[in-house]
Amino acid sequence: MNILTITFNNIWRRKIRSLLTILGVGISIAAFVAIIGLSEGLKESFISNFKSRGTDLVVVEKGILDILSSKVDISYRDKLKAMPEVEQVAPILLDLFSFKFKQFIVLYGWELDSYLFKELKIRGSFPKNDQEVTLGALAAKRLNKTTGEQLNIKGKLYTVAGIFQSKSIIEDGAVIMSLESLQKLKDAQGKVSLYNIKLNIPFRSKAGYAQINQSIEQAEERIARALPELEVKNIQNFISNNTPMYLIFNFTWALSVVAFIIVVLGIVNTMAASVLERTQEIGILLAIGWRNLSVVGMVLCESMLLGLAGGIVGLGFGYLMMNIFVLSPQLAGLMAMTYDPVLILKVLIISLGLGLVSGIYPALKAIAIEPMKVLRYG
Amino acid sequence: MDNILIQTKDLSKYYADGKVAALDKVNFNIKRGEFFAIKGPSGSGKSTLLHLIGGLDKPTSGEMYFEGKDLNSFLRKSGSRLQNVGFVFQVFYLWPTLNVLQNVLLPLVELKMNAKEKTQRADRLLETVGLSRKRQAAISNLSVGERQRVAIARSLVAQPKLVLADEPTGSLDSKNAENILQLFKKINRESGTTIVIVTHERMLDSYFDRSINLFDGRIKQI
Repeated sequence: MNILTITFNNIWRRKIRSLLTILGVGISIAAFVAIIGLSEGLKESFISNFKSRGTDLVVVEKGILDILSSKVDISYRDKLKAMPEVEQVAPILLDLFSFKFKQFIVLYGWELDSYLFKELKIRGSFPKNDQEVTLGALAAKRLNKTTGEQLNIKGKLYTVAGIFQSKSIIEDGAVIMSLESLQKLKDAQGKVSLYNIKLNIPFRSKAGYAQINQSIEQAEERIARALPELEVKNIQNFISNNTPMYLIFNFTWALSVVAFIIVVLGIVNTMAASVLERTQEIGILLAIGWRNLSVVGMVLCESMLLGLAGGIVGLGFGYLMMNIFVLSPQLAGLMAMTYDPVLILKVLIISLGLGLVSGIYPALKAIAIEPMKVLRYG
Repeated sequence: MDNILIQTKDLSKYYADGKVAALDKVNFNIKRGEFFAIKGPSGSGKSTLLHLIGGLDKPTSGEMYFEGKDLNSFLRKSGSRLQNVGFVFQVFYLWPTLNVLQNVLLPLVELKMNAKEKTQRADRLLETVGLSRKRQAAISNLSVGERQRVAIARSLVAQPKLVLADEPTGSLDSKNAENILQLFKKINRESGTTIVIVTHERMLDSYFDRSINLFDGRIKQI
């Protein structure tokens, strides 16, 4: 028998209260898992969206708040193409269109000969003219359209030339039309939202991660120097510093702090009540020779176990919530469900840590118990 | 002098800002290996004296020694009380959700011994107190006398030099009370553990090597 046996015994004999505490902790942790998981998932979706196209750098308008408001002149395409470190340039115009209440689809305007098409698996064909569009598989499902059918986008009819599959869920949930067609639809003639740049990195397939990153950084600096009026960024920076994403991350962390406070208060409440209820037992333990350190260990062990159990329950609930959100029509096509082992590990460590912090006050209360008072007054 | 385990000099304990004297200049000693009784009526200061010599409380004035060392500072050292003093209480104070064996093992959580050794030690004591066959029993399934036996085994498991029992027969009927005293006597004789029992029952004199009588916080006779 050791402190852990006694700890399990304490938790087990107050089943209902322990269960309610674990559920309380679990719900707060679930909220943390869901919001962090969703924001990280969203970030990963955007990153994979660029990476699936082999994009190394992105060029956008300087000082924009979000990518949809970026407008860069199409004339930069040729300037970028002329740079020796640039292998491919793909101008992209972005827009959204709503097809049902609060449900939207991403619209891409690509040049008809863009290298971006090479990464997609197509059934039917890609758009050959301004009257045709191609749908991602997920977009086709959401819009309930198939090849040959007509699709109304912002009051204009387009023919679905084909349905493609992409490794990126954002692309899979998008509609692609010709750049000129979207420029007309968006009234943005001669403009694009961003340029995707694939760099000319010698022996890319054999180069290590660090070597590729170094090449990207060097190219980023050179292009930024050559085009100071534009913003040149690698994918990771572009996504992380993108204003809406930045706001989402900050907001989710603020919500997480609230969730953590709820966890701490829940465990403190349970443990303080448990210590108060067990004044006599703890007094007797001290009377029979237990050291203060062992009593502190017992209380902290209990609060950490409650925290950990809450964390495990929270992970289950959190991923369930994420699944529901990801499959909801509002988020469909924006992100895929992923189980991030780093997030799981973080949650378990945070749960243990919160349990530990929550146990400090009750543990101090426990060692303040005077065995004499317990023996004298019961 | 080497044979003295506990010694007090003018030991006093006052409550209510000095207005109530629970103990007033008590002088006595307990020898190593003795079966010793502290007797007296209710409110005479017996339990206060027991708690003082067990290091659970501090005197208002006077001195106490454990093997010649200042008792309070010696027993307050980390782990010292566990290895020097065992307690048996009138109402047992057993852990209701631990079984018999686990209750006996409770003090050993503090000691660095392997689990097998701990269990063997607890089993030997359960045999001594006659509860081997109930080692896995729940406390709620034991009789009152059996519960006190578990408490006695628990007080001995860390092999202390001194066992202090505060009215250990107070909750028991006369037959059980006698059995418990015989058990204490047996342990005292076989292990040489010094046992101090607080009691207000005068009929039990014959069991003890020595005793003191307390009345209103003072020793009446030794």
